[in-house]
Order: sequence, then structure tokens, then C-alpha cells
Amino acid sequence: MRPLGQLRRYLMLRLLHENIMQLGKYTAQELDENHIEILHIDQTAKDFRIQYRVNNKESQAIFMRVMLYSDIKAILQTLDETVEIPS
Amino acid sequence: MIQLVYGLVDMQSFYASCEVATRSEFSRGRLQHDDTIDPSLVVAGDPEHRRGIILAATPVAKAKGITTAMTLGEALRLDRGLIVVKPRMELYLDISVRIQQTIQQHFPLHEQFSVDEAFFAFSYPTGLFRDPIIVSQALKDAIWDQYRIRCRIGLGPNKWVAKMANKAAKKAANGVIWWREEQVQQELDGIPISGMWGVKRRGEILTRVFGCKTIGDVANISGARLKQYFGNAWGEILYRWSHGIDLSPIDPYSYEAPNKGYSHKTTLARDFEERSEVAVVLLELLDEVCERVRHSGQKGRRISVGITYAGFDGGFHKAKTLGEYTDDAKLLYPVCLSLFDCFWNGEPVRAIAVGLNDLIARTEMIQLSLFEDTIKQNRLNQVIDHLHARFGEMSLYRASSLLPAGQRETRSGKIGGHTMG
Ligand SMILES: [Mg+2]
Repeated sequence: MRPLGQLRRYLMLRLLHENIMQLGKYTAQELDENHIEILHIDQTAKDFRIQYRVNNKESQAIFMRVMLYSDIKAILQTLDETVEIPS
Repeated sequence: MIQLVYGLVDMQSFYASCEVATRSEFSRGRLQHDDTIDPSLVVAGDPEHRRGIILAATPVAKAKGITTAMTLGEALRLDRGLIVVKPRMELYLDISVRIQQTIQQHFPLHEQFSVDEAFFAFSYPTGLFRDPIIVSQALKDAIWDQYRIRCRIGLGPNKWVAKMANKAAKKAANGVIWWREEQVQQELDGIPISGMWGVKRRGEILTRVFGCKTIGDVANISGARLKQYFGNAWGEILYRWSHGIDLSPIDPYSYEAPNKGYSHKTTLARDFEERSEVAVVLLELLDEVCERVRHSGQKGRRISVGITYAGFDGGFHKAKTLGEYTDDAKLLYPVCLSLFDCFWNGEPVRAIAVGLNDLIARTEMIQLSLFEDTIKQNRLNQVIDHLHARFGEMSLYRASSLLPAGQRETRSGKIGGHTMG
């Protein structure tokens, strides 16, 4: 790839990063507004174990990576194609 | 008055649901309360061959007439667009372990009943569990939100009724049914004998010898007559069940002599030619054996696998003794598979047996650590103490069968053959 092509790809990813950070902030705000507090997240190779509090009630939940990935796989694929990273 | 409500939660088409929930091509737009937009998908022993056996099917596939134990060829005739996938046993076990933990987080008094079923119990009414339907619904929602798997829940005054209510919940719009003590008999009366859970071939005898069509008909037979025919233990059990009575944790198997070992055998509806097909049945049988061993208050260390080849001609029966005693299917399953792999000559399989013997009482082996953590987190000490006193420690034991140690073992082991990964 030509140098300008590479620079272009780099800037696209920076924009995406900014966008995703923005979405992350928005989602964190939403958690706040709904009084959902994340106390702790345990990450393992297969899952996230999350300790949280909703309206002062503490709970825990398990989310498996394999299911989360199945939800975002289409996005990741589009991303791969757009930035043309050779796989 | 505070009473106990028992629940049985059962995942919908578990293996097929695991596939749908973990494949991105299906994950978009799924709806918790509408399984008709899910794909028509089956898990089959050998997708390349039309004689592979259907091991699990989504509700959409079932609606087209596809059933388990049908051949793939038969299923494809019913649905040309059918999506066929190979079993991934390790994935199913990974999901199963976590769903059981989630159930236990909701209901600390929890007992795994099979890979995709669990009993639970809670005091009612108390401040913690206000409305049985609502707390059950919350569990259903949690399992959907976390795993994208649907389940249904039956509630009743005891385990057996919970199991029966669970079957009825299939037809309930929200997948939860609660039979209160005073309505149990009426609900049971109309259910055909074939729907009487746990009686196995005794159901045929009730029909043939006693002319019973429904559970209500059984309830009309005196306990003495039932005992005369079925013996004291089963006569009493049939009498109780037909009246919606179950004194669990006194278990239907608990009358059996201790220390003798347990085994389960099944004759397949047809010949199984694929390793992955046999692997699924091995786990089901093992699950049932472990359940019985646990209920007898024991653990075992000698695991056996028996295989009969097609035409009931030849086969093998091999056992392996482990270094330690266990009642955990997740630990024993890799051993079952390796026994099968070592001795199977590749011939089609017609009957499969799994046994666990060399048993010891496991009273001293109880580990409550995981359970105690959960108690602390949920501040449920008082409730637990109450339940503990009422049931004894055995009912709490199951929680520790789900300790992460069990998972670590299965992760490193090869499970389910070629499709693992
Ligand atoms: Mg099920």
C-alpha cells in the first residue's frame, strides 16, 4: 500500500476510535442515569463476570465471550473489510 | 405461613439453542418471546452424511416435524433449507456450567438436575422472594440477557410437582407455571399416564394392568394395591406422585442399597455410526448416573462404558478406576470418551451403557466454599440456615459440583471429538 493509503487507513481508525469512545461515554452515562453501578469485572478467556449494583441491590452476572462476539462479529467483519487489513 | 416453593428450570432445546446463540449469522434480531424467527437448525452427528442422526433441533425445526433420533436425510426431506451443524460438546458444557451458576445466583438453594435443568427452592412469602412468578420470570430474563437462551420454569409445592408443572409450562405464554398446593390434584388428574414423569415402564403397567389413562386414574387406586403390584417402595412412590406428594430430598432412588454402584443403559432407536452421536448419548447417560450417585449420598471412582454393536452382535464393556472419588459428570465425561475411543472398532452402535461404581459415602467431602461466598454476597444467611436445617447439607452439596475446578478439567480435555475448538 502507498504511504498515503496507509495514512488514510490510520486516520479512519482514529475516527472510529473517537466514535466508539463517544458511544462508550454515552453508555456509561446511561448506566449512571439508571443507577446501575459496575463494582467489578472479572475477565477470563471465556467470560466476563460482572459484579454490579442496581438501586442499591448488589448482583452478579456472567456474560460469555462467545455470545458477545456473535453479536458484534458482523461489525468486526465490516471493519476488517473497510480498513483492508490482510488477514 | 412460610412455605417452600420448588422450581424446575429447563433450557429450551439446549444444544440447538447454544448453536443459535453463538453464531453471528443468527444473533441479530432474535426475540426473547418469539422463537419462530429463529433459524430452522439441527445439531446432527455427521452433517456430511444423510444417515447422521438428529441430536437436537430448534423449535422452528421441530415445528416442521423434525424430531431427535430422526436421520438427517429424513429431516432434510421435511425442510430443504435446514441448517445442519456438528455437536460442540465442550461449548455446551461451558455454557451449562455458567447457566447453572446463574441459577444458583438467583436461588442459592439449587440442585443441578441435568446438563440443562436445575431444581431450586425458596421460602415464600418472605421479603426476599416476594412473588414466585416474578422471581422466576427474573431468572428467565437473566438467562436470556446473559446467554440468549430461553428456558421454562415450573413451580410447585415439591420437586416432582415442579417437574410436572415445568412440562405444562411449555404451553404457557410466559413459560412459567406455578401450581399451588390446593390446585395440584386437579392439574394432575387430567394428565395422561405417558406424561407422568419418572415412572418409566411402570406407566405401561399402570395402563395395561390397572387400565389407567390419566394420573387421576392412578390416584383412585389404593396405596395397598399399588404396593402389592409394584412393591413397597415403588407402590408408595406411585401413590404419592399421583396425589402430587413428594417428600424430596427423599429421592425415588434412595431406597436402593448403598454402595452397589449405578449404571444406565439405553438401546438406540437406530444404529449410531458417528463418534459424535455416541458422545452425546454417553453424556446423557453419565449425567443420569451421576445424578443417582449424588442422590445416594455417595461418590464413585470406577467408571465403565458398555457398547453393543448393531444387530446386538458383539461389543465391549470396559472400566477405568480413577485416583479420586467423584460424582461430577464434567470430570468423568472425558474418561468415558477415552474408554470409548480406545475400544470402539468403528462398527455402528446399537446400545450404550454407562456405570459408576466403587462408591463411598461422601459426607466428609462436602465443600461449601463457593456456596458460602454467594451467601455473603446476597446476605441470605438466615434463609439458608433455615433451609439447611430443614434439608440437611446434602441438598446444598450440588453447588460445589459447579466449582471452577471442574471446568478447568474439561477445558483441557478433548471433548466431543473433531468439532471441538
Ligand atoms: Mg431442555
